[in-house]
Amino acid sequence: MTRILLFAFIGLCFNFQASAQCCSAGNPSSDGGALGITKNSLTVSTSFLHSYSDTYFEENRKSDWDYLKNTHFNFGILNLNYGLTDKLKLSTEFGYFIDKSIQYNFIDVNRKANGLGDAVIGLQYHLYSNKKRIINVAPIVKISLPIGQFDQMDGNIILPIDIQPSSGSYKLNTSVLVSKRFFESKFSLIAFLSCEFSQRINTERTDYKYGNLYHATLKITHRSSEKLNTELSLGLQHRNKALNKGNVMGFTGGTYLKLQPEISYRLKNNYSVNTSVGIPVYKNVNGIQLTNKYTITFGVSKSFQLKTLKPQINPKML
Amino acid sequence: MKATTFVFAIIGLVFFNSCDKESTNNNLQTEMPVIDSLITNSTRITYGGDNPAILKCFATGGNLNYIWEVDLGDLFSLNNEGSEVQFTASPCCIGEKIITCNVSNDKGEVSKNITITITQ
Repeated sequence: MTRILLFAFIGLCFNFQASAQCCSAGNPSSDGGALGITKNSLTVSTSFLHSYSDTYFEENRKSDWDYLKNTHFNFGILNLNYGLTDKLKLSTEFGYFIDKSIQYNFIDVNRKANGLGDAVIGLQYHLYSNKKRIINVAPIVKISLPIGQFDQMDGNIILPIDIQPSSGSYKLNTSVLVSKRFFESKFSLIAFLSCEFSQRINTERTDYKYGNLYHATLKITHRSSEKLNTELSLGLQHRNKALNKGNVMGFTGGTYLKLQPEISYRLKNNYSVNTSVGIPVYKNVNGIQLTNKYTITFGVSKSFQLKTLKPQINPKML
Repeated sequence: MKATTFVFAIIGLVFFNSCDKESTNNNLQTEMPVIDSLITNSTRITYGGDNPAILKCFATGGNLNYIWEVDLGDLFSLNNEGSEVQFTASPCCIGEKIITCNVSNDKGEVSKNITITITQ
């Protein structure tokens, strides 16, 4: 039981990390999920994310460009993680944009969208466990399905793809999660590496391919008490330039370095809560782009141990 | 008695007339929409909000709905009818953008494209 709680706790801390993207379509990228899980255990977690962007950057410095006043979104996500075996975990994710909006500087218009984002299904395999060194390695594969809305309108205008709730694109995400704990230490380290590849959107209206997304995150966790974890992660994100009708879009993609302090607290009955703030500390974008200012996340999680149903009839009696 | 009957008759006449008027509105004569022209004041604009391209769609058919779309960039409706919009784009959208105007009514739907080039 302690093991389940520990894994769920680590998982909660890592379940959902908003990337520094400001107004891309589709779910904000989430990271690996719980590290390890036991057979038949289920973790249900829900998170709320607020993201705000209002600063233009030209490469790695602030720009006085003022096309958009700001963009922000409020996003809810539901995660289900189930241990198929002691080593293999199935995860699903459903995202919903409560409010995704853009305000312009040159016209008094507040453009809004909301609705179902993408669904994600993933598998995580607990590949390696070294009990002497307390190192665990788990590769993860996830597929994003564009089940949400991709044709929302504002009056008689079909909204452009960057404000649509769904990305409109299938995505493949491969990642690896490595954790290292230390004997008789309250500190532990978690490293997370991921690559995301998007399928080209090819519809009558849109011919677009998101740039590949690469993440590297290093997180230090301190077990401050039996119930409280405090954490600090440093995340490096790089996105390649996008393609529109086969042409490279010079003013898309870039590199962000984000600092994210986080607190997680374990409550009674296997409930946990967590909150974090993501602040980009370095931005280097291609051309001129609106960049993220901050993200705030709140999450609640509950773990269950689903018992295997035993046969009601004793086979020996037959 | 006669006076009461007369008042009811007048009220009835007024109500019947009202119903007739509404019915006439619903049965507005429409035809398959036709887009006569889709024009713009500029097929080449620089990115930003200062110099938008103004687009106008001239169509016939009666009781028309206008829907505008573009994959990247920002369209804003300029009149209640929806036949006129302005187009601007942020730096991300440099290049050729195809803007489509869809016009529809109960008889059908037609569309027409126009290309606007966004420059630096």
